[in-house]
Amino acid sequence: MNQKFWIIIFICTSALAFVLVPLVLPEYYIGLVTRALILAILAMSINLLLGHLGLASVGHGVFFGIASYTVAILTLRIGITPWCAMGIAILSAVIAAGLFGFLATRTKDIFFLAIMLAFCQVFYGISVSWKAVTGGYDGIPGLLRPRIIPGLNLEHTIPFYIFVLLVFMIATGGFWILTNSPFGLTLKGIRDSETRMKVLGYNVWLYKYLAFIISGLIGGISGILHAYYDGCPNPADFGIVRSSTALFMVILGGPGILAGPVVGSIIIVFLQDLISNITDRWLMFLGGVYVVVVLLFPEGVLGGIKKKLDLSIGMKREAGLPISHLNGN
Amino acid sequence: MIKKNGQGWVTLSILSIASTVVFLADGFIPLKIHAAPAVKIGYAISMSGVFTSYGEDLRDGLNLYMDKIGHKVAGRNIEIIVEDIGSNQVNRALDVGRKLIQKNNIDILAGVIDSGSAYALANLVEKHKIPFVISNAGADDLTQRKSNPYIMRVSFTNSGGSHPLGVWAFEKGYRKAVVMGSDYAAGYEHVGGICQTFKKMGGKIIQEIWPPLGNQDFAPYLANVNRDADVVMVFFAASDALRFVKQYEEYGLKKKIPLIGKGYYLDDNILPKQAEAADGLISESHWCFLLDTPENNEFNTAFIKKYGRRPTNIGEQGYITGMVIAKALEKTKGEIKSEEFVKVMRSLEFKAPRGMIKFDKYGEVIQTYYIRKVEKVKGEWQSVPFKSYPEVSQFWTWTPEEYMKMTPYMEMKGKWVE
Repeated sequence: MNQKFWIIIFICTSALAFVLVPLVLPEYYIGLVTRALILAILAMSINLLLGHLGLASVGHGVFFGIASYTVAILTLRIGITPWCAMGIAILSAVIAAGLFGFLATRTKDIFFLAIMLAFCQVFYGISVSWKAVTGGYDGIPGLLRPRIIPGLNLEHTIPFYIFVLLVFMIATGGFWILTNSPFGLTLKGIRDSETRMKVLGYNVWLYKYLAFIISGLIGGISGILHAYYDGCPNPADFGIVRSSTALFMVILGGPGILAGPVVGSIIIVFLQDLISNITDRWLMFLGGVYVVVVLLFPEGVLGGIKKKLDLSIGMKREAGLPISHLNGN
Repeated sequence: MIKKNGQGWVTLSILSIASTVVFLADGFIPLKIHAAPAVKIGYAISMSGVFTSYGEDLRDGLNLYMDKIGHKVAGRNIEIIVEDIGSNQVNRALDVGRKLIQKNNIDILAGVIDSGSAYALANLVEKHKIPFVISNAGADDLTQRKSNPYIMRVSFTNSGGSHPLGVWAFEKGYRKAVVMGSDYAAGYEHVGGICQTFKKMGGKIIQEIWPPLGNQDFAPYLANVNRDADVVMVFFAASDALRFVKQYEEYGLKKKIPLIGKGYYLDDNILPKQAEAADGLISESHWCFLLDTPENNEFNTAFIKKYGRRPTNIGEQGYITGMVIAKALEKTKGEIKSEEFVKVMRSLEFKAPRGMIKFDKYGEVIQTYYIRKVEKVKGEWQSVPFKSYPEVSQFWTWTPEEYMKMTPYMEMKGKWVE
């Protein structure tokens, strides 16, 4: 079978799966899939940095939160039209990324992780204490979903699902184009050997900086969708659990793989739903899953399965390659 | 390497086919289950985080009442689905709310300790037209400026009991007051209510002091208290309250300026630890352990017998949550038609452990507020009620329209002193 055939099969079945969702699933599960798609977009923004630049971040909730608070503050406190608010929210996430990027992209490894966490915590503090604007712990309840097309009310589960699905598709498409463009390939080059790319004459810092801003933009999109999903931005958006779960989604799915974030996100969201039926100790369970995944699938579920398949069909590949060499795009 | 051999895409295709199948299977399972005839109450309470003890009290209170009526009303069984929404975790509350409504198909949502979650869930129930019985969360606007036709509140409004307390303080002869409260939304509302009626009667607020929530040391704040005051009026809760009352005595203020406040600063849970430091202090509450009515005695005895500890006002709120739902179900003969059911609940009038209660058209409870004094009764520190203000509405003596035109107490912080 040639590769194109399988790509088409893959796209068709996943499209079919997502189109079937509203037809076969009860409303509650459509809601869960919607949530998974929204978080998958956040995970995608982390994937760009982790999978394509090798930078792990536990603070991406900062863009997510900035965008979701901006939407809510602009629509509820100032009264701007939703489209405008969304535009400004994306812009604010991009500006934030532009500012943080100056600092963050000069670091790597654990320092990058720590500085992103610090940014996130600063905004967590602001969201809790600047009560007049952010509502403190209560957040900003009462954000209604906009009416985009007359007659189509996004307040209902299915239209909102379709809207999120469309945004997700566009984001994924854009991400695919980006990572396969010369820009994306340069990022991979930087990830594999920064020095080599420098020697080749690339402005490594600029590439990292731009990737960081794009990552902030994608995180912002996710934040806006989530603000409309819950209708209530609150400090948890900046919380460490939100960011680290998103990072975990990427690791679980497979860093650097296009479908990694969404696979990770669906697994986590549905697992959480399943586990919370049994026990209230969800975070403890998540920790356990994390340990298991790191032990059994260090390249994520997709990466792990792919590797097993590749080995079983006798691919000649050195064992023990680092994650970075196994990515599939 | 996918691009070269296509194996990765094989994997992905298999995965996506598998997940489609899983979705399909997942989707069909719930359809097979027939709706049980039981009335389902989703009880969203804090079973983790700082409000855990409140959550446990709410749970025990509701269970106590359900045991009393045998989990059955008007021929229908009552099923309680308890879910943990954490403390101050709005997203989690919404997730749980959606799950209870869409997956468990609950008929009534109840519980909720913190106001942030209550506001968010109020929007959710309005969307899904599910009656919402708030068992604790006291934020004023839940039943005022942001009320909706599905809300019932059986607990209190933050500023509800503050109004009679302000009046009592003025009638007691106090004219110049220093107010203190924890620096967060509930603090502004609890304290705001006292200031409002106290000032309206002719009293003067000479100073406002707002220590942060979870404050470790009140010394700098107490040193600042204006010594010209006739009275210090406060709202503190939990560990803040314990430290505050102890330090108020240690710094010799207790002998100089009388201290009064909302019941939480002398809560039954912390009163034994405050002990002598709390002796003689005045507080207000909508329920008292020592209230000598048949209903309250029955409640207290049953609670102690079942759980081996003294009930709290939160436990009583859980109990009333059950009472309101059960009494309304009796009236409708077990039928629940969202908005109409809420109207039935709002028309109820009955004797609860805390006294006679009824409801206004915003779903807020109209009840008696008690002024209490700490004394040693039979070797135990107790808040003894000595004056009651019956049938207190959340709007006090104003009409709802007049009242809601006034600036919300939330925005009055720092503006009480003239």
